[in-house]
Amino acid sequence: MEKNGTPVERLEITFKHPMPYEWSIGRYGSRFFQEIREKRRFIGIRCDGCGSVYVPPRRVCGPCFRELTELVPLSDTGVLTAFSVVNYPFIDPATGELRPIPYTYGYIRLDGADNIFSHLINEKDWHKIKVGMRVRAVFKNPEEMEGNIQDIKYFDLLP
Amino acid sequence: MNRHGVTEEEIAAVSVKNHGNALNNPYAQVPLRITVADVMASRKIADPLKLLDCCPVSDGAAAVIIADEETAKRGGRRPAWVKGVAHCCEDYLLGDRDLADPAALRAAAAKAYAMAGIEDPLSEIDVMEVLEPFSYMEPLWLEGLGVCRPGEGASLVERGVTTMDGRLPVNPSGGALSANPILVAGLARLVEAVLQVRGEAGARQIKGAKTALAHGFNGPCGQSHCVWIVGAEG
Amino acid sequence: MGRRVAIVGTGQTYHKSHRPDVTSREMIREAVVAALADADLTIKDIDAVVIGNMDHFESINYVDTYSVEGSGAFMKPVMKVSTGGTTGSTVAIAAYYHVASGLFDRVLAVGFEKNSESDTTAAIITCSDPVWDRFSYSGAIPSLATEATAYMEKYGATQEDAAMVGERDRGHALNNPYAHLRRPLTVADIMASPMLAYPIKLGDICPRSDGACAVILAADGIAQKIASRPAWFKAVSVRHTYTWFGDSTDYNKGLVSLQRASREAYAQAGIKNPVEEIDVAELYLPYTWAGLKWIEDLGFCGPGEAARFVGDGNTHMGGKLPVNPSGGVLSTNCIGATALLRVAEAAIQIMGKGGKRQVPDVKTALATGFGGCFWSDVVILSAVRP
Repeated sequence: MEKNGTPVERLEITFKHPMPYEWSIGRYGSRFFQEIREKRRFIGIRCDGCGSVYVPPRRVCGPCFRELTELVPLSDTGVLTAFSVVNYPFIDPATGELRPIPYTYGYIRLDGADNIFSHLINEKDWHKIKVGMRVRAVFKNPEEMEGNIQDIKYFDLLP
Repeated sequence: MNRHGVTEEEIAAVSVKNHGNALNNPYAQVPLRITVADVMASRKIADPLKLLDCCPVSDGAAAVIIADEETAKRGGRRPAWVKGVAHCCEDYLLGDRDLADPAALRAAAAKAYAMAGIEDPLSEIDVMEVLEPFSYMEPLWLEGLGVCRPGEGASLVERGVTTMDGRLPVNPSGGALSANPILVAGLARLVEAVLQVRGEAGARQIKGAKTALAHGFNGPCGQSHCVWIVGAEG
Repeated sequence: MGRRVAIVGTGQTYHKSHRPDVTSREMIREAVVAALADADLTIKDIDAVVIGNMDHFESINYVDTYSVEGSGAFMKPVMKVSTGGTTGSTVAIAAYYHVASGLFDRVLAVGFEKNSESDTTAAIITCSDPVWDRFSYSGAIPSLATEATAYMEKYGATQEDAAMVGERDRGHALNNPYAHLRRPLTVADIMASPMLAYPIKLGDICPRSDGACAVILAADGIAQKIASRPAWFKAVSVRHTYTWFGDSTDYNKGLVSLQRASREAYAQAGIKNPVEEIDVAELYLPYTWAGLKWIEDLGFCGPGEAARFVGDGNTHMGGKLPVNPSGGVLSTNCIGATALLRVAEAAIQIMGKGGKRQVPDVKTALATGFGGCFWSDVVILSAVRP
C-alpha cells in the first residue's frame, strides 16, 4: 500500500528449476537391497560394542563410533511403534509435484532389530491402527525392483 | 589484470607450480606436470579462466582437533600452536566491492599478524597455504596478506619467491587447484600448515618450517576471509 | 570455564505471517537496531556477529555473507551457525563461546526466518536421508505426530490434555505485543480444528512466521557497565544426536537429547529441583504434546504426570513455574529466530523488561531449543553474577 492509501500492484515471478543430485548408498546399503531382491527379507548389522542391531545396515555405530561388520539377516515382520496419517497437501521436493494424500507414515521395529525403520502402512483409517500391532512388509515383484526404498511397497497390518 | 597489467601467462604459472607441487602430496587429486603453454591451450571456461586455471570437482573431508594447553602438552604428537587467528567479512553484492583489493582479507590478516606478533610476513613466515580454487586468486590473496605490494603478486612465481625452493613457498600441497572439496579446502590448508610446522609433510616438507599461515575464504569472489597462523613453538 | 558472560540487550521484530515490505536483510536490521537501542550501544561497539537461519528454506545458502548489510557485520568477523530447529539457541551458545573465550568482548547473536519466502515443508523434507527416509517423510508434523501417538498409547493421555498446552500458550501471547498470533484459542477450538496428521490438528501446531531476533552478549566487567540487570549465563548444554530418524525415535526412552542436556545444565547450575529453583521457563514447544511430554524429560514432573501438572495450573502465569509467558512457539515461529527468542525472552524476564508478560521476582530462567532430528539445547540464565 502506498502512503496515500492507493494499493500497490505486487509483482511476482514464479519459476521452477530442477536441481539434480546423486547420492552414494555405500556397500551395506547395496547389500540391503540385494537381500530384498534375492531373499525377500531385511538385513541388519550388529555393533560388537553396544550389541545394537541396526536396519538399514550402515558402516558406523554412531553412539559407539565403531566400524561395523557383522551382518544379521532378519525376517519381513515387525511391530508398529508409532504412526501418523498425513492429511495435508505438500510439494514433494523429489518430484516437484504434490505427494498423494492421505497416506500413513509408520515407525516399525523389525523383528531382531534395535532401532526403528520408517515406511508406509497400508491402512489410512487411523481408527484401525494401534501402536503395538504387528506388521509385515509387502515387496514388489523381483522383476519390478529398482534397488531403492520403494522396492518395499508398504507394510500390511497383521490381524 | 585490468588494474595492474597482470597477464594470463603470469597467472597460469601459479597453476603450473601448484599442480606440480601436488606430485609430492599423496592426498592431492590432480597432480600434473604441465607448462604455461599447456594452461594457455586448455579449454576456455569463462574468459579469461581456462580449464587449468580452475579447481577440480572433489569429494573429500578433513578433521582437526583443537585442544587446550594441558591436553596438548600431555599428548604424544607435537602440537602446532595457534599463534594468531582472525576472520572478517566485506559486503555481499559484487558491485559494492573493489574486487581487485581484498579489504576483508587485509583486515583479517592484520588482526592475525598482531596476535602472532608478526610485522613482516615475507620474512617471518616460513610457508603459506592459501585457498586458490582459481589461479588468479593466489597472487590476489598474497597481496591481501601483505606478502607484496598490490600488482606484484603475479610475478612472485616467476621471480622464484613462492616456489618450493623460494623465500616463501606457497601451497606446497598443490592447493585447491589440485583438490577442492569446496568447504573442506580451507580446513585442508590448515591441516597442511600443521603438518609443515610438525615436520611431518613428507616429500612436500619445507625444511625448517617453524611458522606457517593457512588461509580460507567464503562468499562470492572472496567476501569473507579467515587467516590462521600456527607455530612449532608455544 | 572461560569468562563470565551476560546478555545486555535484546531486540525482535513484530512477528507476522507475511512481511512483503522487507527483504530478509532489512528485517534482520529491524531486530538488530532494536537490540542496540535496548543496550544503548551502536553497531561500532559490536566485535563479532553470529547468525543463523534455515538456509535451505529460503534457498540462500550463505546467509552469513548475504545478510551483512542487515546484521551490521560489514568488515567484522561473522560466523554462520545452522543446526535445524535448534539454530537460534545454538547461535546464542556459539556467541557465548565467542565471549567466554576471551577473544571478543561484545557479540551480536542474530536469528531470523522469512518463512513466507520458503516452501517450509518441502525444505524440511530435504533434511531427511535421501535414500532411506525422504520418500515417506513429510516434514515436522507427522514425525511429531508419531511421538504423540506413542505417548498417548503409553500413558493414556488424551488430545484434550495436549490442547490445554495450546490454550495456555495462546492465552499468554495476548500479553506479548511482538507475538504473531494474538487471538485466544480454547481447548474446544483446538479439538474442532482440522486434522492435519493424526493426532495433530491445526490448533495443536505452531504457525509459520516472518521475524528476526537479535541478542547482545558482553563479557564480565563490560556487561555491568551496559545493563543495570544483565542476564548472566549460568549453564549451557548442547545435545545434538544424529539424523538416522529410526535411531532417535524410540519413544519409550523419551526425548533423550533433552534429558541429557537438561541434566548437564542443571548440574552446571547447581539445580537439584527444577520446579522449586527455576522461576520461569521459555520452552521450545512446536506442538501441544511437547508441552506434556518434554516437561517430564526436563524433570518438572514424573513420567505420565504432565497432564495433571499442567491441568493444575502450575505452568500458567501465576503458577509455580510459568511456561512461555511470551506465548511460545505455538504463537510465533520464525524458525531460525525461534530458539533465540526463547533465550531472549528468558533474558527479558531476568532483566525485568517483560511488561505485561513479566513474571514477578525472576532470578533464574530456563530456555530450551529443539530441532526436528530430536536435538536439544538448554540455557540457564541468572540475575546473579555466577
